[in-house]
Amino acid sequence: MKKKYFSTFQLIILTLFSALIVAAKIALRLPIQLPGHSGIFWMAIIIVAARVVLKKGAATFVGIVSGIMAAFLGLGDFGYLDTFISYTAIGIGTELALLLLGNPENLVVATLAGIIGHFAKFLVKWAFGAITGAPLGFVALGLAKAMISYIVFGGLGGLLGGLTLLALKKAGFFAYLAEKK
Amino acid sequence: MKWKRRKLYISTDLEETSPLRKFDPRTKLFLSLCASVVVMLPLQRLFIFLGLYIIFIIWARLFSHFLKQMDKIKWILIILFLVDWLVVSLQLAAEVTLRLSVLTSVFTVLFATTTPSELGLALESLGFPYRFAFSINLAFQSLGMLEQEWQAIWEAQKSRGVLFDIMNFRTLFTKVGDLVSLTVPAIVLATKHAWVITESATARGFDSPMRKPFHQLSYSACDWVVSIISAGLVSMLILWR
Repeated sequence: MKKKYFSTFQLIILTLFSALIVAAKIALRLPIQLPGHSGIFWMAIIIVAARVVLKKGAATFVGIVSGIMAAFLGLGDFGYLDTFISYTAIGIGTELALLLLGNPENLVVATLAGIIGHFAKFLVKWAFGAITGAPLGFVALGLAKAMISYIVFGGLGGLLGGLTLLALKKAGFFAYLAEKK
Repeated sequence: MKWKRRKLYISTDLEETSPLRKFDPRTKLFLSLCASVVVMLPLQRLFIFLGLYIIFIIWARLFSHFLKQMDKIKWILIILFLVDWLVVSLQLAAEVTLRLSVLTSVFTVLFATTTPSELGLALESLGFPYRFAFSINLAFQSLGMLEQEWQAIWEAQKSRGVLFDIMNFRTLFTKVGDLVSLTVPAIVLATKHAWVITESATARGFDSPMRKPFHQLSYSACDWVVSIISAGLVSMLILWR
């Protein structure tokens, strides 16, 4: 039988992490009135997913599955297509960042990956504005505050992801996981 | 200000009464993709398309979904229209507003009339791996359970007084580490569930080469007719001079 790229356990754990992202978006709300603040938990879980399943495509997979879920649940403000592409872009952005930067257990790497991943979502919003034909200057101006917010919350999410990984490592989670693969 | 928590209520936007429920999800995916191509058309043809599209979604009983999408972005549309009108021209303002409206609402046809498992079957029949379709279904089935897990963890940590301090952006910035008390248990519980589901799936022959889906999609004559008509209309709108 042909060997699958992700083992069954890896596939299922990535799926549950995707669901965890969407569940966090629905269940947890920080008392902060700034765009993109939900990215804290979002980025943290994607960073953890990329470290738990040490294979290329893990973060992208989480992004795509959570994007489909979020679209079905009607999350997001710019319709189903934007929601799906935004979530997917976060996965791809984080994946590329981690490919370039390395191990997310390093807090600086995790923070940078969080910023890049979350910024990819902002780029989708910007691209949507560009596709409609709106002058790019207006779009950039309109999204300036959101851009700063996305960078900050992406960074905080990445940092939280890195801290979570360190806590999991300290608790022996990866030794437990090694038995399950 | 206090931490906000939404009531546990997870459901998709499914419109059961829509006549599009009877169509194959692949047809609806094709319709949505055709409609998103039209976004690039100039104003006159965009108006014609929007007219046809609104008639179509009224027939499909999706007009309330369309309005819901528009309601979410109404302020953006108004501001964008006014700014473009005042600074550039009325034509550009109308073009940008219409394009954004169409782009925001086109996938209503697919997502409001298809269940996740139907989409999974459609993707599988379009050549996507079965495991991917399985993931979509599993993710939806686990969503309620995981939301309950998040809430239980949240309650437990709150009773310990861990999350009381994070009330605004400044405290969040300095105490982001406290949120580890939320993420670590959530990750560990999700991993435990993943292992249980893996054992169960393996025991049921998840990776068996002889596996066949329980439900199968069939592309009916109606699906062909709708697909051909929509492809024809979109081609006409694009090629029409």
